[in-house]
Amino acid sequence: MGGAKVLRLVTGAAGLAATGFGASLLFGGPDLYGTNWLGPGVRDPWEVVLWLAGSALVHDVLIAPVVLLLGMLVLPLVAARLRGPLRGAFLTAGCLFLVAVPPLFAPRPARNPSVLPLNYAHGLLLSLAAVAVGALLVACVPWRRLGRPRARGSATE
Amino acid sequence: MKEHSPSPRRPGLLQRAPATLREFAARGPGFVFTGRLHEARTTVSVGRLLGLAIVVCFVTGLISHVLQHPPGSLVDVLPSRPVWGYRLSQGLHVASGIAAIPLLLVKLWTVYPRLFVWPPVRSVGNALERLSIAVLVASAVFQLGTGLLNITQWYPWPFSFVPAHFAGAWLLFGGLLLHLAVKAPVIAAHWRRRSAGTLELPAQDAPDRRSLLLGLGAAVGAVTVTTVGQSFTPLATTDLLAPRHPDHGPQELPVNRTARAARVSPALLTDWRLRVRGPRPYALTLDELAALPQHEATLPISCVEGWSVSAHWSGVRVADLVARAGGGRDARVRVVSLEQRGSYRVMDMGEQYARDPLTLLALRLNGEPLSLDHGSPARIIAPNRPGVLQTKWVTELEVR
Repeated sequence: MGGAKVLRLVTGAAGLAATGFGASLLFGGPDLYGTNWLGPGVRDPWEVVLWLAGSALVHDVLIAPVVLLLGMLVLPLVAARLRGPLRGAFLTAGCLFLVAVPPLFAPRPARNPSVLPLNYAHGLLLSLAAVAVGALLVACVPWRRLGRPRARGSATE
Repeated sequence: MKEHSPSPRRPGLLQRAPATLREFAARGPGFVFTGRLHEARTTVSVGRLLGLAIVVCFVTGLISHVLQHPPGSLVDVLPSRPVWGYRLSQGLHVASGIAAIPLLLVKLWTVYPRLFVWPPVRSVGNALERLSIAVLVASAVFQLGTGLLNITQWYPWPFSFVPAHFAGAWLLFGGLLLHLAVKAPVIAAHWRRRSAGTLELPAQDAPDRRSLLLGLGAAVGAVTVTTVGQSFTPLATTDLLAPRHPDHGPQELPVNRTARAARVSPALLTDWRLRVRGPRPYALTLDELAALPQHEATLPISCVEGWSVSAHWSGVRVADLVARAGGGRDARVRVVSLEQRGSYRVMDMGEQYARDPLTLLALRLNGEPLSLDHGSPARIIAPNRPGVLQTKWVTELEVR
């Protein structure tokens, strides 16, 4: 067997082992490994399984269709050479929005102003504005022509 | 030239529907998903970045887990240097997790049409492979989602975060390795611009692919720049979306658990004494502690939630307190807090930390006596350790 095949088998076996270990942490009960370095085990594995399945569904049923719909409906509305920058802008803005949702909506702990101290709505708007400016720059500046010297009609030098 | 025949009346929707479905089944998802980048070269280009982020996140996560719950055999081996070790490791953990969000979304987009392949299961092997992908996708979204919510201290789920996140990490890492093993030939065929598989793809898609990757780079840069300032103070000006900011906190240092949350009231602090147990036990009042030789250290508080800020501490060396109690160079220390409840009420410190000259029982922070929220009258501060183990409201040390 070639080295590549061996590596492939070993990687696969390691993956199975690690997945099995994760499953044991999940289903083995809080005291499966005692009170040692692995820390307390999971007490309610089926709740975790529910949230795992829900995570996959949130992506497959919510996020992905929304993204595809945006792509199908909005991108064809602009000129072909603007679609790349617009797609990049949507991607960046969407990710900024996702990252901003927890600080925007998390319940604030009592009397600890150092937790979530910023005005996150302002922060999000400011970053989205920066994305818009960036996208305009990318779309409007003739990047290709900047690298090339302008062609001269006759060689007069 | 084509003949024009009178066009027959189009059959109604009901009669057309089965034919459309049959056509979909025959042609596969490409019938609906007409984007040209749902192909292996884009998947590999994004996948290797995502894989790197996940590996960094997993390794730094393991480091953090071991530092918080060290196995007995490692307690005395855990090093107290470099001072900034845990700060870097946990900062990387949160940063790589956040950066993985755009990477994961684009990676899943490139392979999304494969969710609708018909028939869904062709063989036992195929079924197992699809199951492993389901676990991979679920655990990836779960890890990134729970991690992102944890750093804002938002727990809308009924289970305990730490055990679930630890189990999820192994499911994700295992799923990733298995995925790499199964897809190895496809990955190799599309790894380079001149690999066999890449050359077979239409050349006109290359500029669009580059444009997508540039947009992805912008997204990763944006989410990183707006959050990393909470761990890396020089970038604090662009910290717009992180749950902490270095400039916000009493005595120029953010607080994780307030005295109120830990149920430590000023009443508990009257007649405070530091009790030190060991071969030669003793007790000290705050004035007696302040009269001992004071030392200074500039050490960060590096929270498990990823934020870290450096501060200037002054207090008594733990090594001096241990020596006074009759402990040797290899002594461990158990620290007890006035905190009434909580999993870190009692903290164990291995010998590397205990004898490090920078490990202090701190009385002053940034030039002032410790505030109540920062652990007044005395807290432990040690280099290269998670913030949860820098015990506040210390009442007792036990030399072991």
